[in-house]
Amino acid sequence: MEVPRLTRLRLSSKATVAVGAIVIIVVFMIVLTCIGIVVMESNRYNTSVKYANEAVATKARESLAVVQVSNTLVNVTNEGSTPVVVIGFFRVNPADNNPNYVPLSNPVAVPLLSSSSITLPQATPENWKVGVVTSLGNVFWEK
Amino acid sequence: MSRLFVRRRAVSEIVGAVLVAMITIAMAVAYVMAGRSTAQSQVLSMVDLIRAAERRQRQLLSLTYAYKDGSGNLHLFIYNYGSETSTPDKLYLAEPTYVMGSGQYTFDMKQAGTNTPVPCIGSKQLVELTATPAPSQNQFDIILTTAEGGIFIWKFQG
Repeated sequence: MEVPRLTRLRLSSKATVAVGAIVIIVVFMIVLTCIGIVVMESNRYNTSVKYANEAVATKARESLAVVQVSNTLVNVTNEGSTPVVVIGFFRVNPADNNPNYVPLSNPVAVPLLSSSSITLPQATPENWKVGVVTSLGNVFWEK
Repeated sequence: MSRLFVRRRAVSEIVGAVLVAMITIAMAVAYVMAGRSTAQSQVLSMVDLIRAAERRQRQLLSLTYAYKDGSGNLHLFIYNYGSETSTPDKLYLAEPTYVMGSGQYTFDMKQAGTNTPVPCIGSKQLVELTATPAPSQNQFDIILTTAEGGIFIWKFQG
């Protein structure tokens, strides 16, 4: 009687290759997915850094000349190298130096090398100091 | 009797081989899954770190105006020109010779131009932060930290 040999029960060489390939592909896909996620997040971080640097650089390029024409009108001239958006203004009572911030309901854009007149929502005595606030957080005071 | 013995032996070899194969496959799957779990946790840690750094980068605070009132309070008008909401959590007013751990002040925060209290500084929002009492000096550093990990330092000259 012939005894069945154990070698006949082994996987064929093709099946072994297939199983090995599947394991390698799975490991490869896991590694690829991990790298992809990290690269994607890294790109988002780089975009944020770029945005922040651009905002800081643009902020440094803002420059406005502010003149109070009357107690309800301020004239601003863009002397910088970037367009400016005025979102509100400070008015400071010289008696106590306490400021009062008044936001503009409609922000005013001041293009390059041009002037804009801003109507103040609240009458401001002409001896009060007026400063306009831009959308990048700069304040320019009247001289 | 002898044939039965041979059959039993053959069956045990098949069962043994199948068992060995199953154990091998199970160990391979367990190894791959453990590696996947480790890789996943490490990747998530890296993603958390990158996102926290990204949130810090997107916080851009500007001190637009600061003054001390007659009651000894310090008022700071802080504008957020970044795209991320900032939540101030600690305020330090440091003299030139700063001692670590000292100089922390409590503060209140409200939307500038109104009396509406706000817990954080939203994007494109100006808030008035009031610290009580202000230092007696007329020159000191203002150090503001946010819950999102941002640190902002300004100089005050009264």
